[in-house]
Amino acid sequence: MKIEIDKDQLLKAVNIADSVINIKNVNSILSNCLFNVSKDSVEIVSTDNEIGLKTTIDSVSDGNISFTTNGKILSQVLKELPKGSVILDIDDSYSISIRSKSKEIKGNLKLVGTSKGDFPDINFEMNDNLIEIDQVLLKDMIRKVIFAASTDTVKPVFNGLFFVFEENNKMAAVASDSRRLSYINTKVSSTLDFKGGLIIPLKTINEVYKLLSSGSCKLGLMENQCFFKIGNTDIISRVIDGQFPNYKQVMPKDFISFSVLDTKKFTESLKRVMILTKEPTYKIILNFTKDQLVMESKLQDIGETQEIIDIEYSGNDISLGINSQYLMDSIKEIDSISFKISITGNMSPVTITPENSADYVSVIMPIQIKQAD
Amino acid sequence: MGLNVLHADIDSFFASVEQVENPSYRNRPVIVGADPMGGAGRGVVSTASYEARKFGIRSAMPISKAYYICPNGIFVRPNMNLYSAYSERVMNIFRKYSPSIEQISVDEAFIDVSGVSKLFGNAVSIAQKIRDDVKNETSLTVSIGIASNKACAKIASDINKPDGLTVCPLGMERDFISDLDITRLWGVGKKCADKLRNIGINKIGEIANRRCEEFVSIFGSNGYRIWMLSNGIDGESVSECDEIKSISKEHTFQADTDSTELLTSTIRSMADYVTRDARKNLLKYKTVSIKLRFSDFTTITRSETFSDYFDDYATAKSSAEKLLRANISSRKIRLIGLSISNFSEDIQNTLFENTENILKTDMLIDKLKIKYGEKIGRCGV
Repeated sequence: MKIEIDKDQLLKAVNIADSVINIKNVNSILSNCLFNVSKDSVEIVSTDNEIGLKTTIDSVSDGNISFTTNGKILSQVLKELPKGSVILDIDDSYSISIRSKSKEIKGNLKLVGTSKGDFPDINFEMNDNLIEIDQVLLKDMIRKVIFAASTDTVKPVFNGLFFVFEENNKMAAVASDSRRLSYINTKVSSTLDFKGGLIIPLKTINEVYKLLSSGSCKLGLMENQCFFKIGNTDIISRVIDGQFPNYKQVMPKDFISFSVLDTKKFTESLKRVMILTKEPTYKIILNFTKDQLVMESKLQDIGETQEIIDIEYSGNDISLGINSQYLMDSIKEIDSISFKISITGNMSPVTITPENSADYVSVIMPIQIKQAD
Repeated sequence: MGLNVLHADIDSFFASVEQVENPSYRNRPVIVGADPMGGAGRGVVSTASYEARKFGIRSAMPISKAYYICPNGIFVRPNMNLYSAYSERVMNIFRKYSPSIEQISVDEAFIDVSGVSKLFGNAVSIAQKIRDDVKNETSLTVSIGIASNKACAKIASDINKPDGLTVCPLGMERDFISDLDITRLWGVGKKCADKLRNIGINKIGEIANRRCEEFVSIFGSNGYRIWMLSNGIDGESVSECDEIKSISKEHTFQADTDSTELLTSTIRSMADYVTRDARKNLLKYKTVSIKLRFSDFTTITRSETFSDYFDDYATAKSSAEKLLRANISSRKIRLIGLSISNFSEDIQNTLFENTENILKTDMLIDKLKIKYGEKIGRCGV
């Protein structure tokens, strides 16, 4: 059986499919990608048992066949071939011979393949419980909250992004690691029945993020699975079991004081102050006094820094200990030239928002500071 | 930079205190440690007087061996309350001469004398004054090393023990220590020394003469430190309260045991003790380790590191019990230990969880223990 495909398209599709595969699944059929060949297209399917991915590309072949082979190796082979068409020739024992259509390259390369065999059947059929959403918009939402999610597996509900409809056509995405939280709320074209929200695993979100470019995509929900349709690629993923905590409750509504700061200037100062901090807390002290913010950090036996920024501030003097890494993560995603930092007390969450928007909010819990600080 | 760092070490501290308190012990071999029980005793020598050291008796030697070498020696059980009182008196003498004292154990301390020369003279005369004061006020002798940094001062104090005063000349640090055995370097223990000897290094100078990278590749960042120290360079300052690295507690059983009940209750009371100490010092731990020494003296340590920081009793207790369960077999246990480490001082509060109640319970028990003593128990301890 012969298949003719554009090399670059195939390489891209194989790379997309292979990125889902868990490298720990060595020697199992799941370390391979499944190729479902029909007359005018090839579907490449991969899974790690949590996520299933299917991407489709155009091709020309003389029949139907399904086979599996190692995507990583195939990708390496394709990378070294010239632009243009490649011919895959699959024999009865699923051995795949690969050659470029280019006349300049003589020779042949054979990869071992297998029949579909035990490769799980994955149902990519979507139901009607879905919304269409702009890819740029979704990408922006993910980027603005994903850093706050936890990679530590102690509390699974924090290992993903929580999506929920707060009101009609308004979808929110929330991420937290229990010490900080990021929240964004965006208007979308329709409302989806999310049944109180769904938590999409970080790995799925990362795969989706890589695929998002322009145009619209589809996001849907059925039972305990969510699915995405982005261009020629379908992703189906389990959702994380469990109840995402009540994020609304920890987002302060009343503040004792606030200040508006220049994003760029603050970022530069913060970078300098951060040098003398260390894990795990990367602690810096923010001292707000009348019209001035003094940022300080100190490392025993290494040194100390101080940065003074003129600001508009009319509240009472207050000193806050804060994780500078968390602060930087939040400030980095602020697109506006200035941002607002709102204070509720030195033991209560600090809130960061772009100056003129209440739809994007970062909340960071302070670090207790001792008198000696 | 100058000759400003003193390392003062009280000579054979525990044994010397016994000799001061009991005039009949003077000029005789005094061995402070476990009960030798006529040669059948368990446990080790804590401190031997210089008279006992002449017989070859050293700290950490099994008490039965010390008894065998020197059956006519004076064997005494340690009286920690007495030693603490003496230690405090000596440390107070040090404090008369400098505000910057870093006490590293019950019988030794670093003293930074930079900036007090107008008051008390140069480092050598201060060291002499300290030695005289200690001798006059407590009858103990102190050996002092003087150098431009802590590591060299510590090495110097050990050179003319007992009752010595040794100066490591300024600018001569590298030469001063180069002929000494590698084990004199601060932080080079037995295992580290064995590795160095395997590559043909016995003297400190031999480390200094080689390339730093060689040691980094063997020992990692510690290799860099060792190489720097071998060159007589130590940037660490004398700091009043050194950072606490771990809090631990150990217990040797009267008789080897395999009773899960006894082991569990022992480890629970240790968990209570160490976490209380952590709370007192406002520290949060990330790692819990247990140490088990079996009757054949083989020793294992096993630990668990969390992704988060804690200061409560329950977390340490359940982790220690889990480690214990996984590592006990039919082998009898001689000693059990528990330590918590990997501390963070900064308490990062969380947005959602309410851990306050657990902590309130712990803090209430802490208060009760201060008021009524150790007899206030926890459930199951």
